Amino acid sequence: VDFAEYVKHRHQALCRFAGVLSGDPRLADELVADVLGNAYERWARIGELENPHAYVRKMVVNEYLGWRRRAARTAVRPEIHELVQPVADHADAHAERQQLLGELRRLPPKQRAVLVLRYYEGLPFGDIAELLGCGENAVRSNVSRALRRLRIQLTDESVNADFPVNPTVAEVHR
Amino acid sequence: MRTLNDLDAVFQTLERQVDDYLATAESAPAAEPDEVFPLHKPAARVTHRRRGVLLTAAVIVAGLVFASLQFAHVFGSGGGGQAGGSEWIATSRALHFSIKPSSDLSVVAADGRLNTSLGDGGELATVGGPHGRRYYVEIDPPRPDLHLTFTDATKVEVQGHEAYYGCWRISDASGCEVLAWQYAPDAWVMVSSEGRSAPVSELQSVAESLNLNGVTELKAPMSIAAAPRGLRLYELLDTYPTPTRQWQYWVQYTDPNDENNGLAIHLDPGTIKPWTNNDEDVTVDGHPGYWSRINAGTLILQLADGVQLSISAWENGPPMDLDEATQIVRSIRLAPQVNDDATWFPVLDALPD
Repeated sequence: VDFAEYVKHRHQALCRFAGVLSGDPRLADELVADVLGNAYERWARIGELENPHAYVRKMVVNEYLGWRRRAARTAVRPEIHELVQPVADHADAHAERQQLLGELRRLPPKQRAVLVLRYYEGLPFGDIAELLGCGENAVRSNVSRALRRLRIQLTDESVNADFPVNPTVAEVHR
Repeated sequence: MRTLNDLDAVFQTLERQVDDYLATAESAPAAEPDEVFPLHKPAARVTHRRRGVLLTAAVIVAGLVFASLQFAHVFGSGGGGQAGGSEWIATSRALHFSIKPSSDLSVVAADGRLNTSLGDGGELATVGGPHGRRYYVEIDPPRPDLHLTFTDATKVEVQGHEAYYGCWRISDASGCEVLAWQYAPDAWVMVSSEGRSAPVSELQSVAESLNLNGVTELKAPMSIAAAPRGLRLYELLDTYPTPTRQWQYWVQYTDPNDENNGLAIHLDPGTIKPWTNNDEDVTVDGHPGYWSRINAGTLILQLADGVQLSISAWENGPPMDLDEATQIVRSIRLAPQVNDDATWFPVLDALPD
């Protein structure tokens, strides 16, 4: 896969993934810019992989979890609120969504990462464990704790499912 | 109770925010080079980096290499604020503890630079053991509301404490093959192995190697007389050095009953610059600075010894005016030589919660 082609087709998906992961569009833009900068340097090898996107996605996760981003995550975020207007919605639903969004932003980075990889990217526990370089037990534990903190109740179907309850998201982003 | 559909709705909201942001960045005028990599500014207003991906890749890589060298230098010298060597440290108001690896264990910081954290989050460290094996150590601060229970568990002993090996459950969350013990009332440590089942003796060996009660004096470059707005201390964070900053320090306060109500206080060496064109010039007790409308109000001041201070109310929270920010500034006292961490204050004295 040619690097320019890859960027052309995957840049928005990567930015969206990084945005869901970081909760901050500006930071997502920076994350993806840095990762693509690094990927460009190594594209001769990455482009030969069976699934370059999975590799680049892993780079985004690592970059997010990396020490370079810790400062940015806690820094004041000027102007974001000016750039991003809340989407019009029913008032209560909007308030609830904003509250959940705030709680999601406050999750420890690793818990947030496993949650996004599981329920946004739709990855099985085993793939997440491989991506993060840890064991399935640790992934399951982090997912459980994140869901508990967010007070999200799994239905029987979602507990038993290998993939998220919303197949459209999983299909689009896998 | 929420469901995964609620989470999915939030994911979609975040997607839209990214799309809107990218559209805004795309329509913005091209940046001058200095704006593309504003290393001298706080991490903000980097709105044009995306289009510079390819052309600036080499610059990014060079910057990261330089930053990595700085990082290695600080770690190698055992300096860098209060977090030296490869020790992983966490603290809470209730106690100080640290993980000190024994001769055959090493602590791998999960995300690089060590951090100190207050709040209910707990911390997770990855510990490398013999033969390349790795273990997770999760430490939670005291949580009387945790109601941790064990099923199919075996009682063992760790560091003189009663411990359990087996399956745990907290509300609707659960896990197995975990060794857990209370290091203080209502405060738990959990050790599990990575990627495979480990016998209890192995986990016990790791657990016995952890020093959780060593006195580790955490320090801060500033003391704050009282928590602003009556908020609670939420997080303190010292971060990695960058090519332009040898240290940075954040303190954040929040209202446990209103997650939008919070304040961030940031201190680091540097020269202030306005963040927006509309920032107002101000002087507070002889210190020049800017008052900005970003977030819910931000005051940026140039202090002595080449140090800049910013106080910012969280966006979406109650607004902070200049008078309130000024009062907070007056409650802050810098260490005698703020660029020398030997003169910093013990955290527990410096940051009341």
